[in-house]
Amino acid sequence: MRDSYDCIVVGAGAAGPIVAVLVAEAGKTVLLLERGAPLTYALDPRRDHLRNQRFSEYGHNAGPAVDGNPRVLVTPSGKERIIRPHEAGYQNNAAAVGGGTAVYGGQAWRFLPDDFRMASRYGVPAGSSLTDWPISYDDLAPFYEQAEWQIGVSGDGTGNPNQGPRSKPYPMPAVPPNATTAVLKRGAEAIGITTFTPPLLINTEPRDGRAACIQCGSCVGFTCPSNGKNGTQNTVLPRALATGLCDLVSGAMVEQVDTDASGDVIGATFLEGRDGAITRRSVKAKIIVVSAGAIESARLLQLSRSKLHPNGLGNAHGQVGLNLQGHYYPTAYGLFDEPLYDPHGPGVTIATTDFNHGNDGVVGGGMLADDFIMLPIIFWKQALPPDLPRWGQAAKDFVRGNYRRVLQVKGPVHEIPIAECRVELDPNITDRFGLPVARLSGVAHLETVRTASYMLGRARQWVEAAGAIRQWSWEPGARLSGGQHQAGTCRMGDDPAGSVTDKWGRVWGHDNLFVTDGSLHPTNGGFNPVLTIMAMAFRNGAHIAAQL
Amino acid sequence: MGPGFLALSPAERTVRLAGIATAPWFTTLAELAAEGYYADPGNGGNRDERSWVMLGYEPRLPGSR
Repeated sequence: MRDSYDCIVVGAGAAGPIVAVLVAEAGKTVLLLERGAPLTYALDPRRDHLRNQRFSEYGHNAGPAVDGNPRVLVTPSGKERIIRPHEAGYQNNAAAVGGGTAVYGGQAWRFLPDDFRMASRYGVPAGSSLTDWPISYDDLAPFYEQAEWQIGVSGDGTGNPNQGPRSKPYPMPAVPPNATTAVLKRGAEAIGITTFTPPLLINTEPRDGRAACIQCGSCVGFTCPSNGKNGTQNTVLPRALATGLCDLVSGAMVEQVDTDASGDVIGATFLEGRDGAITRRSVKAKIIVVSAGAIESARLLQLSRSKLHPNGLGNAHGQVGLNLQGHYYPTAYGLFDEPLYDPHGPGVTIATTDFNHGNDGVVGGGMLADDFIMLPIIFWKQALPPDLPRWGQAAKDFVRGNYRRVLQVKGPVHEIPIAECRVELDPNITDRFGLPVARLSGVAHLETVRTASYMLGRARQWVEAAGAIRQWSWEPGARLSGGQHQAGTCRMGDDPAGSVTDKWGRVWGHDNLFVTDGSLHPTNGGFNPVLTIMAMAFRNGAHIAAQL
Repeated sequence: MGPGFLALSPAERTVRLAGIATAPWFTTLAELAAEGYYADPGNGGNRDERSWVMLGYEPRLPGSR
């Protein structure tokens, strides 16, 4: 480690290593701090079906640890509950080198042009904080392309009839169909919706010195056995480290962004816990980039309190931590006469974007697709019909007879943000380092729930048209949203009083403090947001490197 | 579950259990049993992946059966 750096990046998730590589390849020094640990198949090949992002009642293989990392959840009735990372309501993503990209499924969607102008297209629903992005699809398109080519996406570049203009195809061909594809294609044709193969951050052929996907069938929640799933940890991060100008410190929890007596940002202080002792280091830098995810980035800005910044950095107008959002995920299950199980992953093979916009009576919409291959315990936990006994012969007979005959259609709903869904510092509860933890409160806007309910109807319609002999689903209810797709808490905008950063992620009031991750998203699209987070990091990272 | 449970036939056991199926302790116990039975053998249940063979799940990881 050096005494000072040109740039410190807090968080090695979907965005941080992209900023790091752009700074380092521009010949500048960068310190990349990550609270989690390295996480690869080579380090630990175990598939723990009870501790992963799709089922976490016993813990998280990708962190954070069950103990020492609580949050506080304020329920709609005002009751406060202390939540551990593996418990419902924590809104966990991951704490690891690569962040969620080490264990994600890797759907690689560009948002649609109208996703950037939701308020203009639909108006602002009462009680919501719906707004347009300060940039357009056309502004971001070149950086989507950089993300697709530098991280690595497979897909059909001409398949999506609703997409914005693109100037290059995907670098790799789309994943092959599986046994569910033809069934859902049949249903889509029956009701007249267009479908295509979804783009994935997964190698369908060897690329950049790494292997292709071996179709192991367990993408979501786990590291990749062939290293053919592309995250930041196996693409831009090694590139950054190879420059010799980037230092990565994992297990490093940033306590605060440091300011001087004038209130200017000068560096960061981080904590490391080793052998029961906590060490503290302060490092100077010309530019600080906060890239810790929507909950932890908002927490860190608020933790960076001082006499001149009593509410934390960028928070003079009380905007930090507002508008927490994620994705409602309406899901329709269908039982079919014919077996349609296929063990060959990844499993996502067919999607439609026909319902992202233009739906009568609701605001926005979302993409619908089939899903990654379902592990047996996930089938048990999530896919059994609600009227089936969960014990005894009937339950076992259903699983035995139908595991290979059930498919699902699901998708992320473009949420309508609401300021009251927020991240604050809890006044009482601290983490293992003694730092105040995130305090989460609020419930989604009614329009989000209405759109989710509408999309569930569309999913059910597709499953029925495909020929399901029986189908079931759960109606969405009002709750706080966030989780792996968390976004919105440091929204960018053109008005310093109504946003946290400008359109480059520069925190209002500070020339050298930036945020880049899902926190910036004014709205979060009707798609998995990671490619947008990556594209924004390519765009903002180039801007940051040019300042140094 | 009551006295003599183990001496009952499977059908008789089902009748007996139906009487307690909504008791919180029983629903918890059933979920724990299912977690052990359907999860990976590394968690101590599902010996030799027998539940996976039964329902037709085919893991394709390096070294899988």
